[in-house]
This record gives sequence, C-alpha cells and structure tokens, in this order.
Amino acid sequence: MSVAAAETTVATRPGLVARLRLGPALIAGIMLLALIILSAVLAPVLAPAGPAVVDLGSVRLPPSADHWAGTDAIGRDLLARMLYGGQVSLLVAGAGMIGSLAFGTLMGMLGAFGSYWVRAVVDRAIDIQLAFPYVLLAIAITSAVKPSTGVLILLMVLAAWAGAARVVRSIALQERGKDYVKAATVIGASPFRIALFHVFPSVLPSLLVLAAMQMAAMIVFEATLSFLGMGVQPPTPSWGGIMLDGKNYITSSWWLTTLPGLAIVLTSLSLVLIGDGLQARTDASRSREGDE
Amino acid sequence: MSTLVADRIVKTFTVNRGGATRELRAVNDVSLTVAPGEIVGLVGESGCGKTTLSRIMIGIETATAGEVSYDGRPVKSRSDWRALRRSVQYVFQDPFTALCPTMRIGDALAEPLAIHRICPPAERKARVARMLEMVGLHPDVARRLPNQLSGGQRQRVNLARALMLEPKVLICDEIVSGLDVSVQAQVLGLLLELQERLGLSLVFISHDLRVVRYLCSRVLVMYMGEVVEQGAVEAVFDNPQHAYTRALLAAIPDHSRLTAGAAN
Repeated sequence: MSVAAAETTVATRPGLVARLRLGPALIAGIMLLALIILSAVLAPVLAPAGPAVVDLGSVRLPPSADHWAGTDAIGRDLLARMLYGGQVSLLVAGAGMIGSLAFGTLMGMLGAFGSYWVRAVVDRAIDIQLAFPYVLLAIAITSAVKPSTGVLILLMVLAAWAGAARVVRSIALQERGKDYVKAATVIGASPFRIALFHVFPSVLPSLLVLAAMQMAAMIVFEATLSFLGMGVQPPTPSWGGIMLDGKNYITSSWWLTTLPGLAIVLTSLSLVLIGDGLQARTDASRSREGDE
Repeated sequence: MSTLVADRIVKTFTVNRGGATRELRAVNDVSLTVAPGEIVGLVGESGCGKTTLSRIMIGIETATAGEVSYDGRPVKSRSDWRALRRSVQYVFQDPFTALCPTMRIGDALAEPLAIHRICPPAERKARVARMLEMVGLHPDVARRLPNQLSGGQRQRVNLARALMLEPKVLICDEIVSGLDVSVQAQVLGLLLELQERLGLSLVFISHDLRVVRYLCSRVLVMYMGEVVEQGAVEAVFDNPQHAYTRALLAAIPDHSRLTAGAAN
C-alpha cells in the first residue's frame, strides 16, 4: 500500500503553484498588490464622476453608504480621490523605482568593471549619497526649482540609486573573479559584453528583490514629499497630498488622514511581503547551487 | 611560423601576513617556446606556478617581468592581447566554473563567432552543431544549461568553445584533473585526435606524469616557480637529472609489479 502511494506521489508532477515555488508571503503580497493596482486602474469605472467634483453641501462627511470613505473639506468624495491618487502614487513610485534601479545598476557595473579611476569615482559617489540626508536634499532642490512630478521622480532616483549600485557592484565583483568571466575575456568579449550577457543575469534575482523593496520605499518617499508639499502638486491627487489636505482636521475628521495612510501602509506591506518572498526564493536556489 | 614564446617570465605576488609584507615568487625566470604542431607538457606539483605561467601566456594575469611574443612579435598592449587570442586559446581547469551558469551551451559556443564576426548570424547555429559533434556531443546539448551537463560533457563544451575560433595554439590547464579516470581517457583521446586533425600546438599542463608521457613530445618540469628540467619526454622520463623529477617519477604507481604478480 505505502509503496504504491509513494509511487503515485513520485509520478505526479507538482502543480503549477508548486512549480512556481510561491511561498505564503509571496502569494499574500501579490494578491494584495494586485487588488491595489486593479482598484487604481479601474478608478474611472469605480468612480465615474472623477476625483475633482466639489460639493459644498456635503463637507467632511464621515464614511457612509453614499461616500464609502467620507468626503473632504470641500465635499469631494474621498474614495474617488484615493483611487485616482493611487494611480498617481503608484506611477510616480514605479517610475522612481525603475529610474533608481536602472541608474544604480549602471553605476554598480561601472563600479565593478570600470577602470581604476571610474571605480574610485563610483565608490566615492556611493559613499556621498549614502551619507546625504535625502529629505534635506529634497528641500534644498525644491526650494531652488518649482516642485513638480518630474522633479519628484528625479529626487527619488537621487535618493535611492546607491542602494541598487551597492548590491549590483558587490555581486558583479564576486562574479568578476570567477573563471567564466576570464573565459569570456579569453574568447574576446569586451567588459561591456561580459557585464551585460554574463554577469547581469546573475544580478537579476537580487535586483528583483530590490525592485520590490525600493518600490515600497518609493511609495513612502512619494507620500513624505507630497505631504511636505514638495511632491505631486494639487489639484492632482496623490496619497501623500490627500493626507496633507486632511491634516488640519486630524482631530475632528479622522478618515481624511487615516484612510490614505492605510492605503500607503497596505501597499508598502504588500511590496515588502513580495520582496521577502523573492529573497527566500533566491536564497533557496543559491543553496541548491551550493549543494551541487 | 606561428610560434608562441614566453621569455624569462617572472611573477611576484605581495603577501601580507600579520602586517609583514613579503614577496612571493610564483614564477621565477621561466622561458617556454611552443613550436607549430608541437605538444609541450608542463608538469609540477600544485602551487608550483604552472597555472600562473599559462595564464600569463594568454594575458589573464600580467607578468612582473619578461615578455610573451607570438610570431616573433612581442605582445604588450591590450590590442596585442586581443589579437593573440584570435590564435591562442585556453581551456580552464575546472569545468564547473568555466561556463557562464545562466547562458545556454549553444549561445556560449556561438559567442566567439559573434564577437569576432566570423560568419553570418544565420550560419552560427550550424557551426555550433558541427563543433558539438566534433567533440562528441549531441547537437541537442546546445539547448541545455551548464548545470544540466556532467563534468566530462562540460569539459568537452569548454574545449569546443576554445576551438570555435580555430586557434593555432591551445593551452590546456589540467583539463582532466577534475574528471573520473574513464572520462579522462575519453577527453584525452579526443584532444589528441583534434590536435592531429587541426594541426594544433598544445601546451598541456598536468601533474599526472603518465598523461604527459602519453601525449607530449617535450616536457618542462617546474618546481617552486622554476623550471628544473626540460627536454624530450623520453630523455627526461628515462634519465631524470633533477632530484625533484626523480621523486615525481618514483611516485607513479608501478603497474609492472602488478602484472608480474599476476603472471606468477
């Protein structure tokens, strides 16, 4: 009996979910994030009137059947603003994440494959960036130029590229000493080719983990700067901007700050869960490689 | 003709142990000439500098002093080395680390063709298949990743990759020492067959004297970074002059005693 049972288990291929090796954290994170993204994408369907309809007859109403998330100080539906604000927050954070990873990867590769002077410059640039308080940097820059969404994304790249650069550089330095990189040199591959075709694929799993973590940080960073009035400018809604609008009423109308804050927390939570899940996967496949 | 010469190569490493730095001579004043079609053996224990010397000859290590030349021209600048590597290729010792883990075998073999624009892209696949067949692998191997192959198969792939550029000289750094004995024999047989067919010159690095005797016409014995003895294989093996060579030869398991015992 038990032998037959064992044979059946061996014979059946693992299901799709098992083969993708998704842990519980990864599944929870992906589902939560999918829900948030879907609601942002479907904002025009869920709230056809849009985020800017002012109704001075219904100001600062608490959550009810008519207005699920209540209304703000000039009677705009808070749920509609949060849905449209989600579009803005997610897009801005996504752009900041992609920008910082792209620039960070480039710098990290230069830090591993560049000439002596290039490597030295990259090292110092990373040190300087890590030592620099980015909110201060943001205040300095937005006091010099008019704050806008473009400036915000640029600030995000400036604030976060060094993390990616350090990860990419350390992995690339590790790989660079291996025989396959020397073998590529011997068949005539240029450092650029080696970085792109041989080393980058080894960096990719760690970069995916970093993408999730950076995205979470970017959601919070966008909210911080918009809350301080240096990010997305009104009337465009973003989660941080909505909280700024509601901050004067924090003692009387709790929903104006709590609900967008909850959106920020849940979004970064989902991303951190995804990042952790991906990290566990990379660690697992790395230890399998070691067993070989 | 295409002669690879290493002239009076010196390589020193600076070792720092407990704050005291001292110089370590890994290779000390070694010269090596590889004539066309010749198989030169380089033997010695691990750490005697033979791998370092071979890596200097392909330019992945730089010599502290001395010069490598090819076809009578010294190889100095980066572009000299690039040019040298069109004619001189290298097979690494460890078949498990010498292949990029994320690249399919077919792409790894096509890469040298793409880099040096040797043939039109459409022709690459056929060339890769032909080369795989030449080293005794099924063309389907092209679709696999390195971790799906055995050590012997990987070493055949490494050999194939080095041969894609149709080199004149091939440097083989202990290419069979990581393999099972039966697989060693297969890879060595293949190497010898390819050498004859393609008219290659070989630098064959090994610590296995039986293999060197089987393959090589000339041999250099290295000990502590220096060449202590060199000459035709028969001369060196039958009448060793240096104490270290004698010790090496004495360490070979003696098969005649085994067979003699069986005969009695």
